[in-house]
This record gives sequence, C-alpha cells and structure tokens, in this order.
Amino acid sequence: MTVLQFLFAVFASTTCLGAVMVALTQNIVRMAFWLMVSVASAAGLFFLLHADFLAAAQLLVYLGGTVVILVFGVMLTAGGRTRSLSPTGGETIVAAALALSLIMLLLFTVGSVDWERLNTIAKTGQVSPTAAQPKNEAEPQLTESSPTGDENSPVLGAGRKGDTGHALGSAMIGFRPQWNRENQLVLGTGYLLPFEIISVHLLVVLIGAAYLARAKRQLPSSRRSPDATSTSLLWDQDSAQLDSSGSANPALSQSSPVRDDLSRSQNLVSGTGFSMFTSDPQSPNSGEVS
Amino acid sequence: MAILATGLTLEQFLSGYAGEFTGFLLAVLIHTLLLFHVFAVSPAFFIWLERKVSGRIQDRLGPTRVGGKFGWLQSVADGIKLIQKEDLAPAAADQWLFRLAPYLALVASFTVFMVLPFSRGWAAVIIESSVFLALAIISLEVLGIILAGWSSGSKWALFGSMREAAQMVSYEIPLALCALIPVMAVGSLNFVTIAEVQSGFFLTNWLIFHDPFTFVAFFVYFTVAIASVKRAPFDLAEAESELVAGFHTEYSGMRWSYFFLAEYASMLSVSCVAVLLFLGGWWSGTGLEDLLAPVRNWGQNFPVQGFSAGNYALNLLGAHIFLFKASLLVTVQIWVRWTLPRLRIDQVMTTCLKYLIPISCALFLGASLWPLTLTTILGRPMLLGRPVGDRLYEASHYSSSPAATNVTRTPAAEEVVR
Repeated sequence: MTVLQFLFAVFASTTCLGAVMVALTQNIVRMAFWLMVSVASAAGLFFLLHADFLAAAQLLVYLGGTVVILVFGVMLTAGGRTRSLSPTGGETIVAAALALSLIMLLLFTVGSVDWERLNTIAKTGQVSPTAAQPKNEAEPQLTESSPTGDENSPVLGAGRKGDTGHALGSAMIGFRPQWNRENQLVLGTGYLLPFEIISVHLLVVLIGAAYLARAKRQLPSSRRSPDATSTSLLWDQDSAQLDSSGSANPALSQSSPVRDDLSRSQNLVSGTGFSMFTSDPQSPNSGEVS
Repeated sequence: MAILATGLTLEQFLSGYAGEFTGFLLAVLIHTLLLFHVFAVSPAFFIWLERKVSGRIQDRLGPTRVGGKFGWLQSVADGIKLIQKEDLAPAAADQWLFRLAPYLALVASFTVFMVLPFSRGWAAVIIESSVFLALAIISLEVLGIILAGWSSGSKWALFGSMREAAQMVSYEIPLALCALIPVMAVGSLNFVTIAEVQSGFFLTNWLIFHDPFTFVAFFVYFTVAIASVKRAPFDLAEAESELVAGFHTEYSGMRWSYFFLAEYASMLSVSCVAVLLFLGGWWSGTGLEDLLAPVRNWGQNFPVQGFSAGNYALNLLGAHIFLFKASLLVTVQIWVRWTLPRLRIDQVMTTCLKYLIPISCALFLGASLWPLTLTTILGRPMLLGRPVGDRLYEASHYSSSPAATNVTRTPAAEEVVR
C-alpha cells in the first residue's frame, strides 16, 4: 500500500463516515459537526488529486461559509421542535425514494465513464489510446528552460503538480486549450460569461436578502403586535424600535432620547435582539414603543 | 515538504534512505514537530509579552516574581496551574461537542502554519494556491468557537459565539480583498513566490511600497486581522464587561487554555501572512542577502549528502528575520489592545460593513488600475525599482516543489533518490 492509497483510504472513509452520521444523528448541531467532517475530508481528497485550488475553495465555501450559515440557522431556531429531528413515516418514504434515485444516478454515471480511456490519458497525457505516436512539432510547447514548463499543455503552469490555479484562471478568461478525440489542440469555450451571470445572480440574492432582513416599517397608529418580531439575525428589534421611534412617533423619541439609547444598548448587552429569547410577548422593548 | 539545498524535498531525501512509506511518515513527523514548537512556544512567549507590555502601558511592572528578573517563567507557571485544574463541563452542556470544540479551534489555528513558509523552501507544504488556502483556514477557527458557545448551554457563551460568528463572517470579506491586492501585484497565489519577489532593498521591493494602494491595504489588512483573531478593540466574543467571559465562560483548565493557545497562535499566523504579503517575507530589506548569496554554495553535501550547510545557515537567518518581523506585528497587536477601548457590537459591524469593505473594494480597484496608468504615462509599470514580472521570473525557480518542476539535480542528489 503506497502513501497515496493509505491517505485515500483515510479520507474516503471519513467522508463516508461523516455523511452517514449526518443522516443518523438527531441533533442538528451535531449533524452540522458531522457535515463539517464530511466536507473537510472531501477537501482532503481534492488535495490528494493535486487539485489544490478546488480543495481550498471547498474549505472556504463549504466548510467556512455554508456551515457557519447552517449553525446560524440552527441556533436561531434552536429549542423546541428543531432541536432534535425524527422524521415521520411519509418523510422517510420520500427521503428513501430520493436517496435511491440519487444512488441510481451515481451508479449510471460511474458505469458510463470509459475508465480505460481516462486511465490512458492519465498515464500518457494523450487523449487517444494510440498515444505512443510522437507528437506533432507544430504543437505549442513551452521551452525546457521555462520554470513552468509542461510538455502537454500550453496553459501557464498547468504541468506543475497542484497548480490548478493558473489553468482555472486561464479558463476563466476564455483561454481553455484542450485535446479533442482526434488528438488536436483546440480552444474550448471559456467560463467568463457563466461566471458573470452567477455574479449577477449572487448580487440579486444579496440585495434581496438585505431587503428581507431590513427592519419592517410600521404605520404610525398600529401597535406593535407581539408576534411581529422579524426573523432577521441580530438587531431586528432594536432597529425596528429605532425606526418607529424615529419616524413613526417623533414625540416619544424627542421626549426620551436618552432612555431610548440606554435601552438600545441594554438590548445589545442582554441580547433581547435575538428572536430566540423573545418568546415573552411583552418584552420591555416593545412595551416601551407602544 | 521543505526543500533541501540540492532541490530535494525532505520527504524524497528520507525516502532515499528509509523507503517510501517510512520516509513519508518521518517527514510528516519532523514537520509536525517543528511546526508544533512554533505553534506552542510562541503563544507562551506572547502571553508573557502581553503581560509585560500591558504592565508598562498601564505604568506598572507586570509579572516580576516568577523566574527571576523579567518574570519569564510566568507562562510556564500558568501552564502548570492550568493542567492541574479540574476539567469541568456544565450539566446543561452538550457534553460531547463541549469537549470537542476547543480542539476544533486549536486544529484550525495550527493548520495555517502548515502552508506558511518560514524561509526559502522552508514550508511544510508548498502549494501554488497557498494564500487562498491560508485565508480559507483562518476563517475556520470560528467553527470551534460557535460550537463551544452553543454546546456550553449558557446564555453568555451563546451570545459571545453569535457575536464572533457575525463578526467573522463580515470581516472575512475585507480580509480576503486586502490579501488579494499584493497577490494581484505579483500575479501569484504562492506565498513562496510572493516572498521571493520582495528580495532586495525594502523601499523598492517590498510590496507595501509597491504602490499607494498596497500601502493603505496593509493597514486595512492589519485592522481586519486584529478583528479576525478577536483581539481588542474587536474582542466582542469575550467582552468581559458584558458577557462574563463570552464564548469560553463555561470552560476551565486545559480546554480553556486551548482557546488561548489558538488565539495567540492565530495572532502570530495573521502577522506572518502580513509579513509575507506586504513586509518582505524573510528578507531583511537591506540587500544584504544578495551579497551573501555565494554562501549558499558553501558546504555542499555537508554533513550528509543532499544537504548544504551554507544554504542552511542563510535559510536560518531568513527564518529569524521572518519571525522577528512577525513578532513585531504581534507586539503592535498587543499595544493596540491595551490602548484602545472596546467597540460596541453595532460599531464593530458598522466599521466593517460601511467602511472597511468599501475601502478595500476601492483599494482593489485602484491597485488593478495603477500599473495600467503608470504604463500609459511613464511607459513602465512601477515607479521605483525593477518590474515585478522580472523578479517573478527569477523567483519562480525557488517557489515550487522540485518534484513537480524540472529543477536540475546534482548527480549526488540523484544517487540519494535511488
């Protein structure tokens, strides 16, 4: 057993262990922990494949981003029903059907790949199985003296182990040379347009999230109902109160600006801004506003 | 794996003697042990330094009784005290996660050192996207803190960890943007390349002086770095005056000290990243190393084959310069902590979202336009010194694992490989 095989066995088994434990665990935060184990081990597998950039992105995006958001969501909904999950009968059936179809999909995908051909490519760096023939002189090659030299790809640094960053960057701006089945070097399509579209999408999502999380503006006459607590993360009540006292009810805010500020800072300290701790409908905050 | 003088990694070197698997294991063990010393000893020193510096700033002496003149044994005494303490877990805690969380924070802050190069070729792992990876790992320490705060079953701990989560998620953005500015100036995501480019005289070659935008970016980066290691004035996660002790309220003994170990090690690692990206890495900035360059050829294959004594000596000098610069930045962090008052949580978020993110975006834009503007007006991409591209070409010889590129190997080295 080589070192690589040993490490592959370790990372593959922890990936699977994490995934299985996510499904078996009842407690949401422990689930998040096992998800972290699974995702981090997948990043380890990417490192073993010398896809360093992808592995780092896996750590940053999935482990650093998604799990933080997951933990956020869990904590703000903690207590009561969501603390531990046990699916009902109908949910189990639906989940089983989904899992089965996913497994079928994966199996068909694995079965339809020409592994022999991929193996040949990996060993010789050529696309066709008859790769033994000497390559055409006209094919673009970097010189031997170049520090990022590689015999197969004209992309800068593509031959270096683990240097997927340069290749990804070139592909991003539209320079994606690849070997086709006839063993010719052709320029594939780049990823600039999809990337831009995704960026605009994310911007839209960001603006939408900011709109949703914004404090709700109240009508001057309406009382703040006990269940009007918005579900934004940290300071929803404070900002709502600021809004209503600033715009909706100027007389009150002028009469007690100091007290207003005091209660705001007390809220920040004691954390009544958290929606999970405001189950009491007559919290001091809403009482004061109304 | 660290590169020896003849272009072999330590792993290849050891494999030549001990076989593939044993060589790999030995190399991993050596790297881990060396890094663990940096990771564990430097916090002990910085905790002592923090006490002394805070004492001086507050016009008192700091620890003097333990260990002679400067109280230098104080950290050791504290360590012994913490080991003796009972390892408590509250009844309301989620026992399993509560015990696990300190290790998560510890592992995340240790892993950053894996990709940091301490001198030419002296890094446990030399990979091309090491800056990206380091930033990704720096942002992971928050996971241990969130889990610690949640599993404690305490209100104060939960508030602390929620604040830390909100703070970290926001401050990641300007941190990455500011780290991206020197990366863009060099055109590489590799720490080794970025540091090699900065050899020579500091005023022309260090990236902080590359253009006005990198100069400002350094200060923005440093501010954000202080926030990302939750130091005052951004230490809302443990704000003692509001939250008892924040996320580690319920911890005691060794598990409590793991959080502090992680915090002080993170202070060092973000400072190391700052030194590598802006302050010339392991170069002294005087050009002295260029004069000493012939030394690298001395003592080839001494004392064992595949090892060069002269090269080792110069690398050791570089590592000392590097750690000295990083320690200076840690001292500045301590200085800031004992000088500035703590911000409120809404002020912390305002500072980041309303000021630091727009500033770093503007810096990023300016830094990308700067070389274009200079080339149009002056016909050269830099005001002072040689263009980065020239230096980048020279640097790229040292900046990757020799197994991957065709670094010329000496016959002796080939023999060792066999």
